[in-house]
Amino acid sequence: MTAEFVVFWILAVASVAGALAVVLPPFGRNPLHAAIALLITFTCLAGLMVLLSAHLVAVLQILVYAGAVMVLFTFVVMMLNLRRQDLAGFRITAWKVVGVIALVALSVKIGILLVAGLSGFDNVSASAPITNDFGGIRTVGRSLLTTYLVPFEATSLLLLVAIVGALIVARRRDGGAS
Amino acid sequence: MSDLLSISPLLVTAFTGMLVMALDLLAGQGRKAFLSWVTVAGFAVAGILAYVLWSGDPVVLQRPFLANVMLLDAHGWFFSEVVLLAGALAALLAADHMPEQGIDGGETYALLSFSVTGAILLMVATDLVTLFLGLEIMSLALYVMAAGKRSSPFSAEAGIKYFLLGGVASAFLLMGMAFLYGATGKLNLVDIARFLANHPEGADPLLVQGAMILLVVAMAFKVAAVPFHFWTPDVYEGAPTPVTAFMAGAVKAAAFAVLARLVLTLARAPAFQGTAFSPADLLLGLAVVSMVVGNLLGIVQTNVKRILAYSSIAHAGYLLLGVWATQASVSETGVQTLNDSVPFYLLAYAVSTVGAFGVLALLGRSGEEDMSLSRIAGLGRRHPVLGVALLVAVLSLAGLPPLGGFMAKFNLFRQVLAADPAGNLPWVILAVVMSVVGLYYYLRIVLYAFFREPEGQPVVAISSAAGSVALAVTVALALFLGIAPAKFLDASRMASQATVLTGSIAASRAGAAPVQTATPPAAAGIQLKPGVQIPVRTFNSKEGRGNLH
Repeated sequence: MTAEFVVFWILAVASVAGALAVVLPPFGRNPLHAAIALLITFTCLAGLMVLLSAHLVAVLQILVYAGAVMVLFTFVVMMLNLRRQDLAGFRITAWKVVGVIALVALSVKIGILLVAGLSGFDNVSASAPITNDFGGIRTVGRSLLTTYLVPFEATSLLLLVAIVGALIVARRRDGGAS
Repeated sequence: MSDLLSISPLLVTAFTGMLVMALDLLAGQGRKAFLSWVTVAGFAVAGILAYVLWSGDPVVLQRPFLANVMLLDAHGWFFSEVVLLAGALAALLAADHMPEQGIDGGETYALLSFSVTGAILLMVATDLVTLFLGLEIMSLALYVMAAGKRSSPFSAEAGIKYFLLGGVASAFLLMGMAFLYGATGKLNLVDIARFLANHPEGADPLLVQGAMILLVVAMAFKVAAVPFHFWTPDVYEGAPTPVTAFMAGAVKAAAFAVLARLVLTLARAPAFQGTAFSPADLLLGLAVVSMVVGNLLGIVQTNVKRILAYSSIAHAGYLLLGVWATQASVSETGVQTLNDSVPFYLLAYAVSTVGAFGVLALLGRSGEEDMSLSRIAGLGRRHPVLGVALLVAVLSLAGLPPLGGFMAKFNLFRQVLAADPAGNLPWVILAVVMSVVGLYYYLRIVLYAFFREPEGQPVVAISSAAGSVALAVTVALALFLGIAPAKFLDASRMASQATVLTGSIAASRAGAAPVQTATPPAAAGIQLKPGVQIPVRTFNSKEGRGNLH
């Protein structure tokens, strides 16, 4: 039982709990509470990245997700100006029951796979040495601009599509540019 | 041959999108239709380049960063041509449909170009990251196009629904890729295939099986197979009709190309031998329920777009049966090529479904969204040309001779039977019975269009030169594929032989630098001098853990 092991489980449980709180009542009923629960998940994920020696990704996780994306979410929630009666009450429907059963079944299956698969991870990672500055800016930057140049460029196209798409969807209905 | 030239079809489609965006700014309000022709020209150039460059042996890429992430071969070529064809036809259909429906802007064509670029990237990618990005570029542009008609709540619903369920599918796909990476430590499909074949002990069977389940589920979303089809009728109905045509024709082809490549490449892994779980059962299950549900639910629909959506689900079932038959024979006899007729089937389906949606795209004045059967009544008499185009497209979808759809279905079922004459017979019989059931709703469209009198206000056709060209192409191709399919069947065979990646394909990358993906991605870029010992640590060694204390 190493310290890493203990930290990992704390972060892992907290991140999954945060993710569940986003969609489940009581937090999931209120968009702002859900956003804060998501913040917990983002922060814990950053911690997990640190455990994996991916320092740059951890910092970006905090800066971009916990910072920028979260602020955006909060702004949107504020701008929607929801009142209590706008939020639908919680009702148990047949579909939700089916969904919960399916979710539990899937989680059990994935759990079994992961527990049983731990040996598989061991086999692979033991054979893959990593260098000292693994996860640093220099290494990630080099690999992005050499080995992974094509995915890097493809990402820029993806972002272009996302920007154009956001502009089109957000444009006013009368066709005027606002 | 220079690498830039080799990947030029991709660059041309991406450039077309940007050019359209620039020209959109210059063109005046209400004069955007010419952008449709610009898009078509771009796709035509890309199609010709792909034919010249990719249709033969796999292209040897010099740069390792290209050679490691993509494989330009007959598989990518054939499916790229299908996607480019469907994209060009959709652009032509959009030229007059979009302004009529109040969607006056060049963004549709730009997004269409980007979507096609994403689809091509998806089909040539061998690297899982690139593959995922291709899929996302294709899908993201489509979500926006589906929601493009801002005056219609149905269109907004289609966009949101497609976006949310597409996001779920992407999550499944990513999880599957993560499992695969966890099992093999590699991101390149060729490397993964080789690793799985050479290291029976190295990869945990449960991880590989989990990856397989997740990947199949994700792609089943994209190809609209039951039980992951719930979005299909609503999205097909709500999206602007030319966009629906593209969705049905091109996205299905791209998604099936990737489904076949992923599943068949992984299915050879020792992880699936001698276990109770086999990917074949998964595919067969999806195929059977898709055929049954798609055809039975199609019968009760009254909206033509929804009928065609259920037809799309049923066709996904037949195609899955084709992929399954290969898959079943892979694990038993070691045959390693995709069912010959699956690519041909996708081409014939794309042509027919774009034709059917194309006729609907040329019907209806502004604000008229209702495409129920009673509204197309009498179409054959009032607009004989549109009526004939609809007839050809629908009968081709139904699989009647002498049309492309018949040739595709006939060859597909024959191939499935040939894979295992005794064992596959019940499933082929089921598929044929379900085709006959499906005939009912296809013929209902024909019945309404030609033999019923319209009740109330009949739907009016809009005049569209570009749309007429598109319909003429679909009719001609549907007939041609049915009467003289030999060349296309040959091409289909070439494509299907390239679909399954094996370790041996890596030999075609001989000109490339040593494969770097054997090391973890972040470390791969470091240049090592020979003989220099760099300090390394591993995830699980004592030293590695110690650093974190």
